[in-house]
Amino acid sequence: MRRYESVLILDPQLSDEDVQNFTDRYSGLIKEGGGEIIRVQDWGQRRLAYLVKKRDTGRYLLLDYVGMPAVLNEVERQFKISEQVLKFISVMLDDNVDLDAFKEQAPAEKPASTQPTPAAAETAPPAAEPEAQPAQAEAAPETAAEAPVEPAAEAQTEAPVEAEAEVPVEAPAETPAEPDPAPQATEPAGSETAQDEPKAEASDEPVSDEAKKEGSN
Amino acid sequence: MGKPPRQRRYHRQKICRFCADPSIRIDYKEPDILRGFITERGKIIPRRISGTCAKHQRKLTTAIKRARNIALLPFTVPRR
Repeated sequence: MRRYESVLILDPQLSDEDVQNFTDRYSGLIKEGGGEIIRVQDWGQRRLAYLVKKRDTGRYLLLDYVGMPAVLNEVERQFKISEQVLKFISVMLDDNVDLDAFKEQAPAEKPASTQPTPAAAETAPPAAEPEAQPAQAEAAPETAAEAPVEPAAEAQTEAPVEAEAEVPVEAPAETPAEPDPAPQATEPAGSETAQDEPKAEASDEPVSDEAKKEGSN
Repeated sequence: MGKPPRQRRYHRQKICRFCADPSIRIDYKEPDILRGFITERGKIIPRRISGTCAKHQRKLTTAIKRARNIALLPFTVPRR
């Protein structure tokens, strides 16, 4: 048994309900193959670093599960077929896992630690963006009928603002560094060392010249 | 031909951030940490500049590449 982790980028237009159905479907698929799902994490809507299928936002979902390699193959095959999945990556976390140990832990963990641990471990990504709202909306699925509409609208209005805020910060930093032939020049933190290194070369060369002269004499 | 003046080079001891602070995990799911190790053009900063130790640089590299794959980090930042 292996432990895998898949991070998916889903279509940002999916409602919370769709996402729920989606995770249910795949946890069913994993269980069918003799595996077990350990945790599902919804990172909410985030801005993508580049366009994926012509979309600049995506809904991130993390699936953490245990299963045989065949399970992964099937799950990945389904991801590829699914229109809801824009992109995914699967990573093997552990080569040899005892499923029974997880099954024993799972009932104890699910109510208590699955929520706090991810929160502690992963606060950085979700907290950085206005994703808290969709996550909260999901936490209360009973209000889901109204909730999905609102967070989606909010996230969409907020995301562009953030994008504009980010772009100018990068742009001015980049323009002065435009003479790019020396890759070190673009690196602000390493600028001191970058200056050092060409000098090192310059000082080395004459030395070697001298050495040659001495050798010839 | 006089001897070229030997430049006294400053050498600041570079430290690996991940060795200095073991609490930082290198994880492809945390782009905010990784972002400190790429240039604004999206390139991975070499070890000789960042000072990261070999072991952590290897992990960092795979983490950055994975993060790129799921659009958490850019492959390139196009020049405008």
